[in-house]
Amino acid sequence: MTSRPIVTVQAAKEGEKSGASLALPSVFRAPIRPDILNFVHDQMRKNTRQPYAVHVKAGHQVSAESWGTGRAVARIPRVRGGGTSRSGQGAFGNMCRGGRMFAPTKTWRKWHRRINVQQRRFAVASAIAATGVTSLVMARGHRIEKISEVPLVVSDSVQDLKKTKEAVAFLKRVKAWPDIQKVYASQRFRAGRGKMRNRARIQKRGPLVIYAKDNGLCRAFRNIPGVTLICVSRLNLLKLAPGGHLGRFVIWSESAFRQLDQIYAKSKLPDNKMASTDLTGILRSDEVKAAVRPRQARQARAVLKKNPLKNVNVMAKLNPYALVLKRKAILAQRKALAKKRKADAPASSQKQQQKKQPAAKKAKQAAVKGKAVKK
Amino acid sequence: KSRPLSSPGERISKASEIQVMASADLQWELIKRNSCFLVKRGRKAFSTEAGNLKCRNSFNSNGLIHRRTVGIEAPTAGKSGVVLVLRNQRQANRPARSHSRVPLQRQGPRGVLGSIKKILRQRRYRRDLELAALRRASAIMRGQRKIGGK
Repeated sequence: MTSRPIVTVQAAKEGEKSGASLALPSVFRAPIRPDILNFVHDQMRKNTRQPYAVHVKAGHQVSAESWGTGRAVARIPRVRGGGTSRSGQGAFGNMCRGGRMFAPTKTWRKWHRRINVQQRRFAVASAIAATGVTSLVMARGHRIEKISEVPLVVSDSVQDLKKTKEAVAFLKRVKAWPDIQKVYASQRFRAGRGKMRNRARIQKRGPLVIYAKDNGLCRAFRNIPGVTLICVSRLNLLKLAPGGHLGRFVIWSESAFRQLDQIYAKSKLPDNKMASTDLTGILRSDEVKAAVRPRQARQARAVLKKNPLKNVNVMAKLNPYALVLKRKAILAQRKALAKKRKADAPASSQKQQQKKQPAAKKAKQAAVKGKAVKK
Repeated sequence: KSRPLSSPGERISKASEIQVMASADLQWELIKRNSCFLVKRGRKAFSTEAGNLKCRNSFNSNGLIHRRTVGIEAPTAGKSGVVLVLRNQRQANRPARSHSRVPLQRQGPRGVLGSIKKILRQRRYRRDLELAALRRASAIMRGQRKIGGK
């Protein structure tokens, strides 16, 4: 068996010695299954719902009857009597003003959901496991860049904190304060009708503090925005994975961390489908390599055919001597051109030659003397 | 133990070894659709985490998942050059210690790029990201040039 990694307990208060080592509980190796977690989370969230429904009699507190055919009006039931503008108006239908809605909502709608125990446990185990993976916690949005270790375990003196000031000092000590600052920065008003319905203010979630025994801890932390507190014996998926998203930032007290092994005895933990999820590693492992044929040298890809008569490089590949021939041809052409030019302008060139002679003499003399000559 | 790797992914000698923490592949499956760094614009998916050189939402580029990550950042205001941020392999679970920052300053652009190359090559550290690192560093340094200057 591979040895379990060790988690160091951080000091909660100043002057405390940190450094006690705990083995990582096996829950942290539970399979991380966002699909199960999401499903269970959805179902669980429905369990705090309060029923809403339209009044039973809504739309029906009228005695209305259809006028039938032959009166040049639609056959919808109409309000009886006279003397008021309401008389003769359509009633009862969902399309009528003041009528009953389509499919009036009933209180006996199924509001709550039952979830299988195994599924619930699986989801919580997954959520806890995800809590121990740094990248997942960061991807969820928690600011944990300065924290000393993930999972963050803290000595039991956290549980004894009584004052909010002490709680704040603790969070700063443990470098969890940036997450709270993130919460402060996210405080804003909800968009939409929720404002009118007592749900005006919203903010992000901060750290989750899990304790074994509350000696004042809850009161110390409860006024700090974003912080949630739960007891180990009552782990709540809705707090561990808010929104159905894995990887909440959790701060464990030492005794709470120790209790995890008892709560999640190995027999209770769900099985992994894959012993190793490291796909890249598996593909490179010795066993796979032994079964796989050697890599083929890069196969030549189809090359676009180019016309050697137009393309010099391709011609040269086929017939290297073609370059020699070409060069000869070019040189011969140049020579012929030069000859032609001389032949074309005989008179002026003679004059130029006469002029050039004294200039040439001068040039020679100057060269002997070492002076620069203008050409 | 194992030879240093030139590309992402952990090497294990036996497929039967149980992984302790979620592997890069698993983490990718969890993060690729849903993460606070994911930005979808123009039918492309970008990712804004620190160690991502191309800001692309892809397995190879991702800066959170892998044991080895290369990040290039601009230094604090007023300074020139670039900061190379490498991830410490053994400290994956310790965010405070997980990155080592190498400031490359007071060298000209060629010096900076040469240093980056040298460091990555000597350590055989994510060679697949070398070109991306150089490009990013160039882009940052280009922004540091004075307007109308050289």
